[in-house]
Amino acid sequence: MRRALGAGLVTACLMGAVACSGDGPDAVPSPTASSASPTGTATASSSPTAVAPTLPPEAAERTAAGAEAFVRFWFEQLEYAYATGDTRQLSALSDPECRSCAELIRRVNQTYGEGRLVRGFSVDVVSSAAPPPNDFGSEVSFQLEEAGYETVEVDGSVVETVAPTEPRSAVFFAKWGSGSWLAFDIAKMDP
Amino acid sequence: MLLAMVLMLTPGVLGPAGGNTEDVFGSFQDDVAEVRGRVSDDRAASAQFERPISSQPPVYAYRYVVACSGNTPEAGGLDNICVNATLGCPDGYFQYWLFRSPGGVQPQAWDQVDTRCLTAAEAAAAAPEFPGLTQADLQRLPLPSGTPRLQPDNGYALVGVGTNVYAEAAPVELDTVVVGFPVRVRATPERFSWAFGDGASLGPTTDPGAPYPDLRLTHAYSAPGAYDVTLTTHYSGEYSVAGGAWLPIEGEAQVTSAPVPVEVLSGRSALVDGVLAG
Repeated sequence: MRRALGAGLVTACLMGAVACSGDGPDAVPSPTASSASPTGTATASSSPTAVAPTLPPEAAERTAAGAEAFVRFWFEQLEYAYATGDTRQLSALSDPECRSCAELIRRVNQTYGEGRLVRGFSVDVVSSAAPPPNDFGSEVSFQLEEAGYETVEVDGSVVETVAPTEPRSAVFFAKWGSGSWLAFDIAKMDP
Repeated sequence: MLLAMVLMLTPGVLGPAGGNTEDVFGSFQDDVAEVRGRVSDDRAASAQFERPISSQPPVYAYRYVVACSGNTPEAGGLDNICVNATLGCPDGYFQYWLFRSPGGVQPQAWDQVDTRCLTAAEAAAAAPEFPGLTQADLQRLPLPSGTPRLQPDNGYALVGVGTNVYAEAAPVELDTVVVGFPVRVRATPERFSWAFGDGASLGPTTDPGAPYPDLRLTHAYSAPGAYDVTLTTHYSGEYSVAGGAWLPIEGEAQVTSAPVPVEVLSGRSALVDGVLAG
């Protein structure tokens, strides 16, 4: 049985790349589109150095610390997906019902599907805290900081620029099922 | 008992204004199964809703705990403070987790159900056990009155000719804070009472009535004059604490509408020229 999630939380969108639930695709702020910059002529790299993160053992434990470790790991996977266009691991770590996850995955797939690349995307989980898991999972509250990034064509010309964000607080609903954590929702804190 | 109630009304819940109000009133009297208003002393009926509600045992016990890893409800309020709990909330507020445990279960089985920003004073003031919501609490909420509709809707009626009445009302949900807990209340219109201003009343009835031509509730005035018609909507209520299960509120809340003035005229027969002359 799954209880209602998100009571007391505003499922509003965070302002940067990381979408929150409650938004339709149109509600997500679009990155600032800019015309191809004459300075953006460096050869784009498809980040051949990006290495797929591996699940740390603690992120597989059904504990508060395990839920926190999973949240950090999930965001590492998000960075990897943005760097490479490979969203398979991110999808595997996200519940099919997670709309905010699906929106992020959709954006990455769309960008790389159009033959473009993302440069410089990184997220930093500044702090986090997790309550003891209940039957469903754990509501991990966390602070997130996003670096600015660019979407570029293969020739290196810049298509879009997204500014860095201020640290923002949100809640990550981690669901426990079949012996592992899954992302279930990401929602902004209701102040 | 309810120290702090912060109320927010969900807007846009009333049904559409409506009613086919073509000026044909008076021509369908023979077809109508009229429900006559009765002059009555309705104190017995209203007293039914004013009796004290028996206090129910708490369904859950609740605890607020500062949102830092390692803090649990068992710690008895000796919470650690961490950087994370100070972020994302306005100055002076901290992130708290709300835990609950089913009433009467020992040892308590705490389940974290909500995350929210509170001041330390608010968290400390939150009752350890949610007291439940009573009929009096439901009555204090700003429930909308139903909308009384009269036909004809031109403000006039004729002595001895039935005025059709019907109520427009819809369920509403309200968010409130009760002794520190986030509570959602759902109120549903169940019954309707009409007072016609001439001493006659109708209901309470579960029938909201209907617009012409489906006449179910009518009242015929016996004397000319100016009268005020009011509709009282009787709501049943349910509540949910922090997204938990819906629980019933015993009793009903009653909300009376603003009066609708009606001018009752005496009709008389008269011969007129030309109507049939073509």
